[in-house]
Amino acid sequence: MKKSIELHPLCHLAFCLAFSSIAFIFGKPLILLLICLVAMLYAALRLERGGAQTLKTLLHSLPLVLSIAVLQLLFRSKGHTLWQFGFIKISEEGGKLAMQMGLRLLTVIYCAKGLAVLSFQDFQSCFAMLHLPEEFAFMLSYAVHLVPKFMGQVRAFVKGLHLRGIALNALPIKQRLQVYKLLAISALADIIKGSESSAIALELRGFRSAGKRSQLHSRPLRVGDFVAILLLAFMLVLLAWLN
Amino acid sequence: MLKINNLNLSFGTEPLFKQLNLSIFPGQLFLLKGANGSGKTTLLNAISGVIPEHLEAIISGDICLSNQDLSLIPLREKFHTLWYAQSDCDKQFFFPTCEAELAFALENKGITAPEIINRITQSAKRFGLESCLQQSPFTLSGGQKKLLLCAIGAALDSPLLLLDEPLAGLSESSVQIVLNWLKEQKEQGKILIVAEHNPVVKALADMELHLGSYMPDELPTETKPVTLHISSKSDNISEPSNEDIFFIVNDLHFAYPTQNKLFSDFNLKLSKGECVLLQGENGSGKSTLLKLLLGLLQPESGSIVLAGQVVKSFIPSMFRHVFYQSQATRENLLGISATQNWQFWRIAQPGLPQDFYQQEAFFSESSAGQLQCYAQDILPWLMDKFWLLDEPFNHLDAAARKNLVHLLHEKRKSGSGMLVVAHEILYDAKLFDRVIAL
Repeated sequence: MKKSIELHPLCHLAFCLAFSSIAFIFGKPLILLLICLVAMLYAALRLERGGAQTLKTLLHSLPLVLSIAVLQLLFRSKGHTLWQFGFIKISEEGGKLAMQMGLRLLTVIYCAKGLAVLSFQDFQSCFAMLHLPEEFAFMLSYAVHLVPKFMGQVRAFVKGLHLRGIALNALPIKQRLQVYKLLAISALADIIKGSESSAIALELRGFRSAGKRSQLHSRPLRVGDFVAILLLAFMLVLLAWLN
Repeated sequence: MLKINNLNLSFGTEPLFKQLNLSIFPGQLFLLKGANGSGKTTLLNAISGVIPEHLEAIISGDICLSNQDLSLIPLREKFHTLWYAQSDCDKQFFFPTCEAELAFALENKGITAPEIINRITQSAKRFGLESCLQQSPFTLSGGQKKLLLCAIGAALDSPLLLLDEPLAGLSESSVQIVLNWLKEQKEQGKILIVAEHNPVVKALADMELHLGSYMPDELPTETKPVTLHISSKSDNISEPSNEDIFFIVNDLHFAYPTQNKLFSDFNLKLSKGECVLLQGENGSGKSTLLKLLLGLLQPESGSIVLAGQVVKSFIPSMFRHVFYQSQATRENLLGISATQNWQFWRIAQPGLPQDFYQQEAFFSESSAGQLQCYAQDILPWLMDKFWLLDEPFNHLDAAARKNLVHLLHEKRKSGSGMLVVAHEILYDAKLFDRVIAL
């Protein structure tokens, strides 16, 4: 994690939840673009290799974002028709929805990236501050790290294939699809099994136990955290006004 | 006293334990032995309460510690009573730093921050992990991970210690550190139950239980010690025995991010048919060297040449020359079962037999030793490649070790060479041309 933003994990949780929520509350494309840019900037500040990783995420997400946008473009026919070729029609409503969906999806992806930087301990300290059970911290932490873990597992399996001299690109398409299917199922099975192993490992060290806990590095909210929360609140008000 | 009364345990119709009775007194070390898959880990799981709380099994009987029925204590409260170090280290780590791993149980006990720091400092020092406290546990070497689990146990200071293969992958000096710790725990009146293949624990054991069929535990006779030739890491440590150079490492520099340099001006030459044993302290860079040789890690500077080609990153075509097995057994297996793993091998080597396994064996239901055996089942078919094997003896029982040693002898005869990282075996001139000590 970058040392540049040393805010309380609760602030980071609030940022990510706020950005991803307002992306679904507001509908104006300009506001959504603004939120998406803010989420991008936030992710760039949070991630280890900042800008480079943010751009990489954008490139990796584009096929998904664009395919959803194209579906909206093609299958929403309400409103004024902007372009038509035979039965293919792009309407004003379709264009607007395509933009909305794309920007919303990107905002959520960047917020998830920002959240994934938080460790279980960070979630624990957030939930402890809010007097919520630590099971929630575990569940949220595991959920947030699920996709990166899954991708890591798939990458490890692909490395395993390479170490056996198997180049996926060189396989016939049918066999390649079969291999991908098997690897995806195995990765998912490992992730599910891993959550159980983690729960066992944590319980063996007193996770969910009764009694008062102590903290080795307790981190109270500081002035900077309050300023950050105020800025977030100001931004929310501004966006509401703009909308 | 830990008392086990009439323990019956089965995963299906076939009972694994039938009317098992044990009494272990404070200050005693109980050694669990047996072949891979004989039920050592299952017994530890039953005592700890992982079975039946998290893993389903048909279980009956009593397990009492100081007349307190352990089955009545939920797993989440058992950390007051016991510490259970499982054999798969990676499954037990969850936090971004080793310090956090060490602190978690102590925080849950409500111990004050200064006392936590004191305990962490002491146990980290004891197991040589002081410099690793701010490091991610996942970046530690295999041996250091084992030491970290022991360090957590030492910091927690529970009256009952359950240790599953605590010596797997440890160097000779690290083994000594753990043995000294176990001895001290015994003197303090703790109860220790240790499942271990390494026969050195026998000296500390007060009782032994052989699960499954009896197996002799001495090292295979083929690996009687011969003189150990140790070279300094920074030296130009080797010259191949013939002109057929296979690997060339030139002025290699490498360090993991934010850590000290592991290799400085490191040079190495390996010839095609050469058989080399790579040894060294835990964390000295043995696994890292193997990964560097293959291009799985990138050096800061210097070059690595494999069969006349500069290694930049690993590409599948390198499998024509080299076969690598990681010390993390699960990394060597693909899919969810031995059969699936074999199917992946059949894609790589279409000539392999189709029905290699008689019945389906799921990895999630297999012991660490069984997984290691599944991973190594392919080795006889890859005799023409140069092997890079990282801790292949880990988790293996005496019979499987003997088989592996036999296979390594066959490999030597094949003339295609190998570089083997192993703490468990001693240098044998009949098996290895030389030993490199990092």
